Amino acid sequence: MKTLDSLKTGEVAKVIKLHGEGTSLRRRLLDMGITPDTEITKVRTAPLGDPIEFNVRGYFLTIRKSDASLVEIK
Amino acid sequence: MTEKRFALVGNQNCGKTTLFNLLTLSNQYVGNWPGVTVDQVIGKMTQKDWDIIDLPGLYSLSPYSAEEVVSRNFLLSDNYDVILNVVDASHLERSLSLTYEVIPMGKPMVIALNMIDVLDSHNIKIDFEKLSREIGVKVVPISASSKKGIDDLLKAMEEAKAPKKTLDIYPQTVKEAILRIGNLLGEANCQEKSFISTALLQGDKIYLKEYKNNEVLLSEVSKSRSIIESEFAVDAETYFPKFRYNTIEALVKESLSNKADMKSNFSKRLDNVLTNRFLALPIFLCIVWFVYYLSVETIGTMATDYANDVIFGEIVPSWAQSFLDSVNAPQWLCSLSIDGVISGVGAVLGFLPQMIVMFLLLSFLEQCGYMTRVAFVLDGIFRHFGLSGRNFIPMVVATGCGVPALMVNKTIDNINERRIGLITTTFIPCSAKLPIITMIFVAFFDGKAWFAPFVYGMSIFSVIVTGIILKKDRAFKEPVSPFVMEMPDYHLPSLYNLLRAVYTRCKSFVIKAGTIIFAVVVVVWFLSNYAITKDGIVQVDVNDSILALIGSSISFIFIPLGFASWQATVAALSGLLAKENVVSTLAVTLGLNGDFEGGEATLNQALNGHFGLTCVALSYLAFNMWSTPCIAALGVMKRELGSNKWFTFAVVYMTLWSYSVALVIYQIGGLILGEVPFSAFTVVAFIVIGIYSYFLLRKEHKPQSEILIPSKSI
Repeated sequence: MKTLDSLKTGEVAKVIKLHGEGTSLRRRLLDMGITPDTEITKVRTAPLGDPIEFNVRGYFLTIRKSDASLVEIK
Repeated sequence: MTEKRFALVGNQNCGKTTLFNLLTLSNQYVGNWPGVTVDQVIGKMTQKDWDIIDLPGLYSLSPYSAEEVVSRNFLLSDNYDVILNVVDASHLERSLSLTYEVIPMGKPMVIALNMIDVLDSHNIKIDFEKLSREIGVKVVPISASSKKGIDDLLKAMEEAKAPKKTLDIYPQTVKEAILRIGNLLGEANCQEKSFISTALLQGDKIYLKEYKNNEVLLSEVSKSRSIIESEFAVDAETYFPKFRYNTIEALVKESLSNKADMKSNFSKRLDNVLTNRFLALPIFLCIVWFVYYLSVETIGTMATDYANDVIFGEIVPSWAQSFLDSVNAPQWLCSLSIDGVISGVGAVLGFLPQMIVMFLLLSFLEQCGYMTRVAFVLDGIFRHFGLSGRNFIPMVVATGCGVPALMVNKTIDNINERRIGLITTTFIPCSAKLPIITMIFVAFFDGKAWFAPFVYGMSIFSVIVTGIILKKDRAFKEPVSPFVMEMPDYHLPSLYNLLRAVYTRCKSFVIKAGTIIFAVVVVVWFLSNYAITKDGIVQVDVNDSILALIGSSISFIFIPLGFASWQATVAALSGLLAKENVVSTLAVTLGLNGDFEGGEATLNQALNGHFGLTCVALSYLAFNMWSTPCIAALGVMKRELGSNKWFTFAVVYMTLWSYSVALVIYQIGGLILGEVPFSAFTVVAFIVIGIYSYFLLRKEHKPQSEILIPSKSI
């Protein structure tokens, strides 16, 4: 299973599914627009290796690595 | 009673605050939602007799953070008439997602499409009429920052109507499911019915708990969930946001002339530098140094010194003196007004210029968007001890003074991080503690290069250990929004908004902290200037004062720390008023006269004679460094922590921490140096280390998953 945290800088991916049913994180990611079939681009990693910045639906979003691993992509 | 009440709803960074300030000018007040630490800001529009309630910046109405629960409870209540939804035109999809969550509530509504100038600058046209028609709510293009479209907005607010379609936004199956569940909800009103049903379908924990005994309802919910899940081939929790975004995506495609990436090129280029892998940290340190330099080293302190030394040191006292002389006031009244009230209130107000400079700079960094980058860059370090990157700034400010530093903690929005920040910030030695460090250094450790790094290292150690211990505890696991943070565009804040932020922060400081500090200052002044003798209450030297009496009666508690003399105790107590007092009180109580500088030979001799051993001196230093800060800082701490329970905890924790550090230094350090023999207290010191190690290494408590705010609380 490929997840969002494994994306390389500049790469684009399509969301398949969000794991972690019933958590506040999952709901938050969905509400912020990371829904199935959404395209996500990785912009950069923070200087200390975590969190990661993504471009979603025309805006920029930072997510911690461990949280990004809940998002299954292709 | 006001004519109309508006609930202002929108994402963070959508220009909500700018619009709010624009509409309400200066008539507003901040309150707290009952029982919750979320600010409620109400503004008055006097020319219209309207109230505007500014809800916290939100991305959705999920049941997971206090802000969201409080907001949705408010939106479901009858305490307002119209929803004024601010939508960021440059982030249309995400902003409208919240709009589509609010629409089914069926309340009269207006959409203020803000930042319309950003679209213009990218040559993007937007079809408002089409948006209004499709959403079923009047959409008014505005630019809050350049005050465009406000008249149209006011007109629309006056004529606001309920959305044309509420539940009709959903496909038939879903609408029917919502209606079926709504019918089983009994006494709820219409707007509540559709919202609660939708929430239940998404597995909303708060409502599921509330209706846990209604088996008919719950079985209908799970039946409807499986209907939706089989028809749309996705789980119900995903279905609703996915549906909203798909609807919005289609709508935006039709109403925008071209869909471009609207992040400004300027922001992109600036981020390439400011969050760069190698440059980010050095640039951050430079900016912090600059803030520190301006507010602590130069302008701020110069103004504060002027206020303390000239205004409250000369001008006001001499004016008061001549006034009191002219009315032949008694001696005690002169002393109370000049030594007590004026110097006490002056000590508080004296911080004001420094705070104004600091808040001006920090509000600028916050409003221009840099603070978000700070959180991004430093999150990797600070999260390990329960803090965030933003906590670094108060720590730096604290090297100057704890009072503004504690106030800066206000800007941290995560409540757990803010609480840990408030408890740990004053572990960093402020400038008033420097004389104590110098005193001990000159008398006992002269020429030892490790001394200063040791003191500051121990301060950072105190912050880290405390942070790790506290963050593992259940009490510091209040549910907060997960660290999913938007990176807003950089933009130049307006002077008005900057001054406004500075004004509100300083005002609350002067009013609230000022009253507490003032009262306590008067009490401590009395205790250190008076004694109860057979002639009644008379004014005396600090040596003979009530404070000295208290000091000598409690000095025994410092036996395990090696400095159980009443002089040392009284000096430590006098540090409560201001940490500078420790040195002068110690000098006075040791029989020297008041005027001396920290390095004087007579004081060195007296100290050496009094403390004797280096481990006693170090233990005394440790106790003074890391115990509670002065009264002024405690006043701010109490206000910012917001409750007596938290404040008491902070005071007890800090006292225990400083006592433990001093104990370990004296007993174990002394044992190693051969200055202190092995005793029962040595064992206690080892046990203390054991206890702290346990708390450091114990398993982290799981975060609370539920918010304990009932849905009817507002």
